[in-house]
Amino acid sequence: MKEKLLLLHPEIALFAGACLLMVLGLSKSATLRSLCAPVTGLVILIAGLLAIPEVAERLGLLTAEQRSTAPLLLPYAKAMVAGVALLLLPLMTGVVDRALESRAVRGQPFDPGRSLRGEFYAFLLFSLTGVMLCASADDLIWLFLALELTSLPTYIMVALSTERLRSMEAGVKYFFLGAFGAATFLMGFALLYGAAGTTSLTGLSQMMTLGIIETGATEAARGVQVYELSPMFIAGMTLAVLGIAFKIAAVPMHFYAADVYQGAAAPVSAYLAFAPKAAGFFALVSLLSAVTWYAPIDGGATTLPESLRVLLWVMAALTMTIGNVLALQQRSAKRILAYSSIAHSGYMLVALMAGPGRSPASDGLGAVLFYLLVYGVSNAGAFAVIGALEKRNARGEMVEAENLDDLRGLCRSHPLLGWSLVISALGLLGLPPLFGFWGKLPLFSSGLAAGEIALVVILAINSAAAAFYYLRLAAAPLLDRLDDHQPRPVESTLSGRRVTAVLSAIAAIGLVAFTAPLQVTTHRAAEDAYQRVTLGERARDVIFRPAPEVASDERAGEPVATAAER
Amino acid sequence: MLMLALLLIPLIGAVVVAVGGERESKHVALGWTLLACVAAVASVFAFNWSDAATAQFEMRAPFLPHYGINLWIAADSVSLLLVLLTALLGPLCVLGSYSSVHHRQRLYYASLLALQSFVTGVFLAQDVILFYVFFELTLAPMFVLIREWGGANRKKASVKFFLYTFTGSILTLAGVIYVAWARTGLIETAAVNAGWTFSLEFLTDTARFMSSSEQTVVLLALLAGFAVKVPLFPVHTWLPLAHTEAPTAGSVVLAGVLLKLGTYALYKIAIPLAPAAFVAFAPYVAAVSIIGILYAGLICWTQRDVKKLVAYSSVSHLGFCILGLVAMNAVGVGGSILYMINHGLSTGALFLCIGMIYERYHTRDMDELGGLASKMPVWAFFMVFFSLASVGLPGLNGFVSEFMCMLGAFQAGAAWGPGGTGGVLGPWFAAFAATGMVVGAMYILYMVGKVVFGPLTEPRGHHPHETLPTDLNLREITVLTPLAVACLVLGVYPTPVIRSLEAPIIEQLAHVERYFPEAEAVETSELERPEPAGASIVAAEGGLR
Amino acid sequence: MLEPVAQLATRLLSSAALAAEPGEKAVAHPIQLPELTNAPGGPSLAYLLLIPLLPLIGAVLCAIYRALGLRNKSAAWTSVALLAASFILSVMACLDVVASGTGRAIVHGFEWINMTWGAGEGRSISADFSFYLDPISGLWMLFVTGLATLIALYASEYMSGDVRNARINRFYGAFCLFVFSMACLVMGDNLLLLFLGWEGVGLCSYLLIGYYHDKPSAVAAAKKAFILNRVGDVGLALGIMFTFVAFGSIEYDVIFRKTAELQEAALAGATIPWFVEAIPLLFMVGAFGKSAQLPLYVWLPDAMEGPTPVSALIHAATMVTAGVYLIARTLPLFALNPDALVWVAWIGGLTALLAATIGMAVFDIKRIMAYSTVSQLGYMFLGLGVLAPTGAAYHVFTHAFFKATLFLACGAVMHGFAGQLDLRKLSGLWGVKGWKVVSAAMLVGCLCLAGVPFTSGFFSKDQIIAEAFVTSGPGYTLLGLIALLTAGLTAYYSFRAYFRVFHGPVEYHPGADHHGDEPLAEEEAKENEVAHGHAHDDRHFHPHAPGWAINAVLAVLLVGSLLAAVPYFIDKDHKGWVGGLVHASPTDARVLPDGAQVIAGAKHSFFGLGDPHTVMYFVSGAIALIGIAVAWWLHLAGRTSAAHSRADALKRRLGAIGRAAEHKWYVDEIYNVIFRVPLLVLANLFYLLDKLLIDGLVELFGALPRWFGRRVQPIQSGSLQGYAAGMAAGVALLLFLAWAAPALVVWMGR
Repeated sequence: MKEKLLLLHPEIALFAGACLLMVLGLSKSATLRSLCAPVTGLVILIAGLLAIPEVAERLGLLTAEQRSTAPLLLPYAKAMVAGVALLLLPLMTGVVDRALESRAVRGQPFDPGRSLRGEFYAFLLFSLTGVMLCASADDLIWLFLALELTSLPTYIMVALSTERLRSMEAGVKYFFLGAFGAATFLMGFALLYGAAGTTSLTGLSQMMTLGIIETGATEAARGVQVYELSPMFIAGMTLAVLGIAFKIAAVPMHFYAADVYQGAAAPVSAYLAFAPKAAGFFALVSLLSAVTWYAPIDGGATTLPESLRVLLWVMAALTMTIGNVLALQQRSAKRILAYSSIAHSGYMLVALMAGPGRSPASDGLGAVLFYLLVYGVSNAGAFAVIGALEKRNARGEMVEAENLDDLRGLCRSHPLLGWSLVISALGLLGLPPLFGFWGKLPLFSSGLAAGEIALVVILAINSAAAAFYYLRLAAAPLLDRLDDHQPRPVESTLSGRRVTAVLSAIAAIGLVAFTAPLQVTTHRAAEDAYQRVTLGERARDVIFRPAPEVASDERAGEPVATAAER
Repeated sequence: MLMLALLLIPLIGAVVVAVGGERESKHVALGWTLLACVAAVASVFAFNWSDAATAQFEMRAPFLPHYGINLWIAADSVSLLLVLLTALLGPLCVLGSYSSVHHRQRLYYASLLALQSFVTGVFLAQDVILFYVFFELTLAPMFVLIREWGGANRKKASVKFFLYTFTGSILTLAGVIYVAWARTGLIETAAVNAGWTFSLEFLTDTARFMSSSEQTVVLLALLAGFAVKVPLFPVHTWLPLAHTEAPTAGSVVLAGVLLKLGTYALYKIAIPLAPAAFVAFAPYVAAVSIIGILYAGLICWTQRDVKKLVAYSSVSHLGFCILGLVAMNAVGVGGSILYMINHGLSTGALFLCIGMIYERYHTRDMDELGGLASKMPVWAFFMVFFSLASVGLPGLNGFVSEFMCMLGAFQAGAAWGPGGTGGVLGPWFAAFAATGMVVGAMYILYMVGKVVFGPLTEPRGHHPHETLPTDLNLREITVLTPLAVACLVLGVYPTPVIRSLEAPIIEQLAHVERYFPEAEAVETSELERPEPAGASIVAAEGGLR
Repeated sequence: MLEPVAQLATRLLSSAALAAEPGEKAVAHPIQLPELTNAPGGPSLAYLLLIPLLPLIGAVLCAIYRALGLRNKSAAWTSVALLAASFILSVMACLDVVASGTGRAIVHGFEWINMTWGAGEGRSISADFSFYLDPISGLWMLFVTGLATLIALYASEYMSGDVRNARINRFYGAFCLFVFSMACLVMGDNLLLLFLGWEGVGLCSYLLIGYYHDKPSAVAAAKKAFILNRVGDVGLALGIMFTFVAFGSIEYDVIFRKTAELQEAALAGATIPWFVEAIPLLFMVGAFGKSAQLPLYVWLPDAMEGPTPVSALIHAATMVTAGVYLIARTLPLFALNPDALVWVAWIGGLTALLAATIGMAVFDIKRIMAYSTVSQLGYMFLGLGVLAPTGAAYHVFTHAFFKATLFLACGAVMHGFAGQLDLRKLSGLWGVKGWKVVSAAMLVGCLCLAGVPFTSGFFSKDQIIAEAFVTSGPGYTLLGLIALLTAGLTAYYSFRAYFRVFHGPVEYHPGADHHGDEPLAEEEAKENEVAHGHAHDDRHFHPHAPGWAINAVLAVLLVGSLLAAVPYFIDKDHKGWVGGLVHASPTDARVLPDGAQVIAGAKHSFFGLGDPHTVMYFVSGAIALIGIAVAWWLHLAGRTSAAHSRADALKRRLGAIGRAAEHKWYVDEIYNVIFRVPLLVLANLFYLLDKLLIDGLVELFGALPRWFGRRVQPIQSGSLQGYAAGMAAGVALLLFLAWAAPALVVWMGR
């Protein structure tokens, strides 16, 4: 337990920052209030740095020994989350309180009772805390709390995001459906506890490996043993997965996505498309690791237990397909991105099914972790461009220019925004050599490595179909012309949004150079997390020190015997 | 280094043009393409033609070690020739667009240059993923070209072009990854180093360990991308649309080099990655391509739109190209590669000629155009010349490759004569393909007889172009002349080119020859014959998880 | 890349410097020819290269003139000079080859198509620009270049109308290019170079038929000619492929050597492999296309759309004999497959008869000549078929002269009477001032064509007909009778034309257009009147009598046609000088697989009258005279006007048959219905298929996702309850799935 606390510095920093911001947002002085955003940024930055063991050790927060045994998932996960959050922050500044602040500037008295700014940033930090906690969870209870901590603040953020009714509606929808989701996986956790008698993931996996949960086996074709696990366990696992599916907006828990993303202000939608997804996939990785991709007794079959395999297979296929086909229909860029975020969850589910592998190329979990970053970056860019554009609607109030037609000819009217949108869209499409493609590659390879050929074909066809709407998104600003009668969108006064857009566009290109190290990192993180859960602390330390060196040849440092038996 | 230059010069040029001024953009673009030409010529002299089989000008840098993905470019004679073609077409496309493109010139010429660079990359890539990256990248600028400067129906055309080819090539990617992964199952031996790799020269020996069913899957995946690109008969429908809508230079590049990506990929990747399946499928592919030859040829005969006619003729011509390729003997494959170059020259030139007419009359409808020979004799000369080249008149380039393709198909499997080689085709394939000669003459002469010859007809209400003279001006002649010269030279003295192709082709064919039915007779295969299905260790990866 | 160029340069230099290269090319000739020696003392034949080269230069020069837009006759004079030069060179070459006593000469130009993919025979293909001169090709070159020179000279006056618009350059450019292609066809030392010439002459014929390219009929005729030739070319191309696979090479030397081996094997009783037997059948198809035999002959009459000199050179004298040359060239191969010879013989005979019948009916004298060409070509094929290569070659030779004469005479008439060719509108030209030479030429030409005794046509034709009775083959006697009948018809229709046009009352009506068959734009027509001063209407129409060039050429050809009979009396033991040439060349392969020696003089009898060769003199001579007599009776005797003669009554009696013959037996119409229309329907069908079915499927797949999307859309109703319900349903469903999964998997058998 103590060791755990040692690894929680980032969360602690975030939490403290949140509390600070609560107060700061209420201060009378406008300058202090205006410090909220910078402070948030600072806090996130600190958290991100603290997440890196080397830094923590430098600061004396960790001993060398502790660092060496520290789980590898956490640094990556937390740093990545912090990084993307930093990328999103400039986009999110000024989402709330603009009217209030402008009034205050015009000399009217500041009414703390009506100020929401502090809360907004605080909730952002709380939610981030939740995400990071998900990464370090090794217990169902912890997992539940972390997931909820991730989501609850976002409900409010959605509601706050604009003064318009739609965000209220979106917030309410999101809250109720979120409650449904939470209930679902809480039920699942309970059943799991009932089946395994423990809430610790490690314990769970040991129960699996010792075959306690499984009740028998039947002979399928070609001598493949199909293991029947206890129905309660299956039910628990299924419910848990389905509940978490809400966070990642996967079928059948995807319904809310489009409405909520559209209702909320673009910056918040951008955050929703990323943070809960990240939390959800962290959770799924550790949860499924507990079930293990090993067969319960012998090492014969190499996939998840049938129930889960089929479950995830169907979920992945449906999520990709439905997300894409719905996106094809849309004229609203925000809805398009919403549905595309559903589709992307589907892609990641493919890799999740594939499970761990010996090399970054065949490691599905690593692929998921890596893809989260890829998606987060391009996604932020796309939403940022939409957030950075405003137009006057029928009632004469400024609203986001979210319609595809508003984006026409952007490259000529606002070159920076236009090109950022083009690059982000192509990045999401996964056009080589953009960062998006290098994210897709592991999805394909791990999926094939797991023998899920059919699913990979579905994945391929889906990403081809997705090209249709991403092309729209890219062609509208670059090639189409704005008709004269329609109102010309203007750039938002908040320059931060442009910053995010440009930065993420740059990242979508620049990060390509760091693909290799990043993929290695994610692979090792995933492998480590997986082994922690499946083999438990001590066993892992015994067996897996030194951690296998990952080289271009994936079988380095592997016992010869195993090679021979191939 | 030279190859890198060939790759980067157009790319840098694209950036320079994109950020440069609108008015002088075309001159700048021309300059850069000419620079690329210089580099190409230099590479011709630098290349060691005496061992054309070995990839030269090699440059490699690791990119994703754990995938074994390298930034690895090199050129053997085959790729070099295609690169030369690309570099030659570059300035002609730019020069040909001088008077036809008026708005957003920077974007236009930048796209052209980028396209040239990417195509060059495809021909040079020695790493399958790198190949794929360039292969996909070519879509973007082409999409822009069609979408922005195309005809009335350009939106549909561009999207169809992009989606159709993109869908196919993603499946191709899956297939390639499958091969790479199947390889990771291999036992680490002196001959084979297992582990992930996408370098062609390592992937090529994987096939021996893949069961024929696996190879079939792989080949189908590869065909999904490449056959669409070629385009092979049933999956060709995107081409006429794209051609008719694309701007002139776009069509030139599309016909000139973009289609060759498919055939080149089949030669460079499909043959070594799935040889057994390739041999097994060869007769069907050949049959399909022959159907394509006649089918598309007859369709040409019914066209009213000159450009569409030439577009369909591309489908017909590439049928010959594929036929020669699946003959899988030196003559056939050599003819096929020559065909890639020749078709690029003659058809590209035809598109240029048609574009020149379109600029003057703003129509391509044969009912409105006729007998232009009496009004613009110079144009007529070039038009007839290139038509004859594409119809395969001996003495011009088309004939050499066409005849070699057919002869190759004829020889393949005709083991009864001393001139026969191993293979799975035979006289019948050549016989049916040969009827394509007649069909080709039919539609080309139909077009020439309508547009060039016959009584002069011009579209109603036609008034002469404000800037362009009645007949071709010096610029346009300058555009067409190099192509004409190339057609003539390659038609009269192709031997040096053919000889330079011998070595690489023979090397490449070694992959397939041992799968021929009469492979015992063919003295190859110091490598052991492929093991049965069981031997392919596909589950290995999982087995150790 | 460089060293091949250098290699090319050195090759050209060296070959220009010295004679045929020694070495592998000089292999023992299959048939009893002496070894080709390239001893230092031997004659240097490097100038052989110049024979094709000079016309090519001429073509290039004409192109340059065209580019410069020259509006004078420099193109004409250049061509005449160069062609004459290459004629002289051909003569020298032939003399040298004969003198050298070696059977033939091979001179290497440069490499054309070469590829090697292994060691040993058949592992490399090589088709070079290198030339092969032996007696047969020499014979062809002689009359090709000779006639080309004369006709070029003739055209210099005939085409003078085109000087104004500089089109004359185009004419002579194509003209020279044609001679170049013909030289490649005849002298190429490999089949692929022959194919190059083969298609090259096709191209030139296309360009020259369509010379008046603003005249739709001309364009159509040109297209027809090219496409029908292409049909034959397919056969030839496949034949070449077969040859390569069968012999591992396409060079004559190798082919003839191996053929000889096969012949010996056959004599020893071995069977000829099927793929060798296939070769002649395929070559045959090509020959039928190029030489306008059944069923591909229909393009030749239409080809008369071209300027008359072209018709004379290409479509009468030289190009159309290319098919004969091909078969003569590869006769050793044909000798291996008697069936092919039977086909050749019968197709030839039938074509001769059919064309002759049409020739009797049509009224356009140029068309009459065209059909007579088809018919005479039929004779040549018949000759080859019955293994009388001597007769065939000799007939080619004589025919070249008298048919050129006839055409040029027709051309003169055309030129003079404003394109008038209808023999019902012209009469009695003997009587018109300045037309003596033309009339005389016409007369001599007709005499030769009719095969009147002691004319060249007489001797050449007789050999063929006689051989038909000598050689043993299925129905060859009948074939001989057909040939005899055709001879009579020939005499009739040739003199029909002659009597109508040149005798009887003087009467003429000008044709529609000025200057040959060239339709002129209005202003051109005016300046033309100024230039030549004849008006449209008949009343004061002055025929435009031929000038010195035309007359000179006609005179020369007239004499030539007569002298063409002389060679028959040289070298008697080989049945004439030509026979000697044939005998000295591989063409003289007369060994049939069954070993039956079919040699002239094997005493067959002509219906018990004795040796056909002697009998034939009298029989055919008599038949020719009868034909002429009939023509005289029907068309001259008692004819008072140009339009009407006794024949009309006969024609009325014949009724439908006559009309059918006049409409060329409706063959064009039939072909149109049988081939073109169905093909057109098919093509449109395909286009429809492409648009609807194939592209439709693509569009369908494209639309599928969107359709599915529209179906799924309603679920996104926006109502909270709906969403909750959906989620609940989904959870339930998937729970069930998860529970059922193992069973499911077992059931699916994984």
